[in-house]
Amino acid sequence: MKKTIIVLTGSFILAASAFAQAPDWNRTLGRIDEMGDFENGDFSAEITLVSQKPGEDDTVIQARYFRRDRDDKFVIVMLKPDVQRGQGYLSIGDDLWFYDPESRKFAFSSLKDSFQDSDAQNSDFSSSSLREDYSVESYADGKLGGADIWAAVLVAKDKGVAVPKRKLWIRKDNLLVMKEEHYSLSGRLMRTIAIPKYQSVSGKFVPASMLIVDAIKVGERTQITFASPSVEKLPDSVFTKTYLERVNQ
Amino acid sequence: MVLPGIALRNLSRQKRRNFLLAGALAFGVMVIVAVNGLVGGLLSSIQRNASDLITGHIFFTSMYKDVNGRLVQSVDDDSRMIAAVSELGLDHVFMTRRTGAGGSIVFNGESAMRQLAGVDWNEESYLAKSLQFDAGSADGMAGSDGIIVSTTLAEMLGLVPKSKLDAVERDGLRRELAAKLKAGSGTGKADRKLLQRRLKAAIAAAEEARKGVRDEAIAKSAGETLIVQLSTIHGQQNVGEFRIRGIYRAQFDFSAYVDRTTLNRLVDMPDRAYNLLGVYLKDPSDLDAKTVRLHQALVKAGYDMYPIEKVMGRGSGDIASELQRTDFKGSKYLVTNINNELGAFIRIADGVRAASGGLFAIIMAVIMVGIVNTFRVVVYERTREIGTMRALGARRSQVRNLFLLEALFLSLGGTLVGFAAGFLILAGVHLMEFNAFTELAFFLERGRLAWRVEPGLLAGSLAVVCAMTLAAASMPAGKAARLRPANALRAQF
Repeated sequence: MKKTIIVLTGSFILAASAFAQAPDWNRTLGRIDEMGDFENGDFSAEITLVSQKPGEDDTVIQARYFRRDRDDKFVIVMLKPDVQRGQGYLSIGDDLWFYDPESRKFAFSSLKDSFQDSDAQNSDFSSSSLREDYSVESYADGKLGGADIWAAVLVAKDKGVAVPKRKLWIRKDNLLVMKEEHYSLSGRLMRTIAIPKYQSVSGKFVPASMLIVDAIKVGERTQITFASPSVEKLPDSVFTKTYLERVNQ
Repeated sequence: MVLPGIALRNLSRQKRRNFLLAGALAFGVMVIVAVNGLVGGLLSSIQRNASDLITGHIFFTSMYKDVNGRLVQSVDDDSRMIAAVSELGLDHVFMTRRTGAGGSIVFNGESAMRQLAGVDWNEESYLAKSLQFDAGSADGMAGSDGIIVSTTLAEMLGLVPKSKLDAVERDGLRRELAAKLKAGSGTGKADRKLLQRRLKAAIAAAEEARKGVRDEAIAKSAGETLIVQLSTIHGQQNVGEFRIRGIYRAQFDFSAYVDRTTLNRLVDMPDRAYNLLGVYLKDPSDLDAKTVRLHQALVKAGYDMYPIEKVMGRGSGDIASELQRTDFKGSKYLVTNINNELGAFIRIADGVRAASGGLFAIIMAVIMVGIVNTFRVVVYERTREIGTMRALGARRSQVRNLFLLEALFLSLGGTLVGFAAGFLILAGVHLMEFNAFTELAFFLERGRLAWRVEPGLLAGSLAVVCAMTLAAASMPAGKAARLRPANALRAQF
């Protein structure tokens, strides 16, 4: 444990010294991707989403989340509420299938669709690819919650990237993204994501919780928490349609 | 001329027996007329509504893959298509060139998914006239950021109050009235019938009171801003603002209308491009044959067409999914029609028709057995009468024809009564109004279930019933014809 802390602290100091002055944005974005990318292993966690909509009771969703970044795959199996128990998502690359245990059928869906009618999108559960998809248009120094940050405006490199423009608030000392804003092609703010706390899992960083605020549907927000994170190797069979079918038997 | 008279007289001699036989025939015919009439009407309504909705019977589009391999639907060259329609003599009321995009329409946090129809308002001047506006109009839509929405969508977005009380409101009203009645009854129980009467009156009063507020809200909502969230043709998220220019009364609700150029800019398409050309035919009969002819003409004109054998019976969404998975270069062009888009409905209708045909066949088989037995009894009962006729000079063929004529009159009578009963049922169903259910409106014509009976079905049913009845009666009739006059006269029954 001590060794891990020393290694982490060392890497933060190195990162800070490397990026504190004039950032090389290509390297910085690559480093941000790497920090959350489990390229050599698997990742799993229990996720809880609490969605708030004006005039409605809060919706609480619990699910089991499995990710294998080297193959660009993830699986989500719904645990709660009971009516949605057993529903599942399988994402491979850009393809995503939704499994409904009642009809026992898979429906082709999109990473851009909202997750279970919340403010989260299915793509929020895939690995980050900022370096590949974006270039930094501008940046400014600033402070967020007492921490020194860069506020960087990223624009999509091509028309295939779902979010055309992002603004990231990146901590200078450890390169963790504390806040994000997503803008439409027309430049309108669509949603804001705040990530107040990260948790370290085998040298990688995943949000402990994140708050997504919808800027279009005013008053709608979703809080996602990631609990019991694990990097235990997962069987290959988890990332298959058969798994989603079998988990319901 | 004598034989038909005798045949009719013979039929009237056994009224009860023949009434039952003709009744059974009438029932079979009634089933086939009523079921086919309803199915034909439903299909006709669906086809008409869908044609109005998508504005066309035959559709033309083209698809290509962008640099990221995403399938893009955008027509940039329709000159040869227009020429082919003209050369083939496909008379049409109009053609539409629209951009369609699905999106989420948001107002004050309330949202609804809708298809946005990007219309060239100069080309589609008829559309502005055909929409029944409750507020505003389509004036000035061309080139503007205006949007025309239905009253249903306006209700969903909370722009206007709902015209009808919803289940929660009705329940609240019922509880309130029940409590009042309980308190006033002295027995601590509310009279159920009285409660129902009062509830009905209270709902009517509440909805009437809401009408004024609703009309005012509809009038005020023109000018409000709606936010539209959608994806560009390349898959990027985009958001636009539209100002309500009109609210139209919709029997069923599907599209919100905007200017095509404005929508094109939002979905990242060139200003003059569009993604669906619709041809609204004057005569939509033989649609599949016309579609195939047009496809062949377009192949000759040099378009790289998607094979017609893969188009027929499949919706364009299914074809697009297949093309997304297929590697191809350049643009693929596609001609399809409303029947392919309504494939599921047509398959269900065909299934119902086949089931009614099967039921008709079973009924006819049972009736044929009944006719054979009945005519055998008739011949048995009238053996001496047949002997007398033969003794007076009637030929064998005349005796046989007499029985066949009786069977023919029986089948004609039964069939005609069946037709009448079938048409009565269809007319009765047509009298019912379903205006309140907007989901059902897709199947309706002016709020009612339409019916449509093909003349060929009537002629075919008549021919089948007559032929089967004659076939069933032919054996007993032949037996009657073969009777020896002397033996027949000696018969003691």
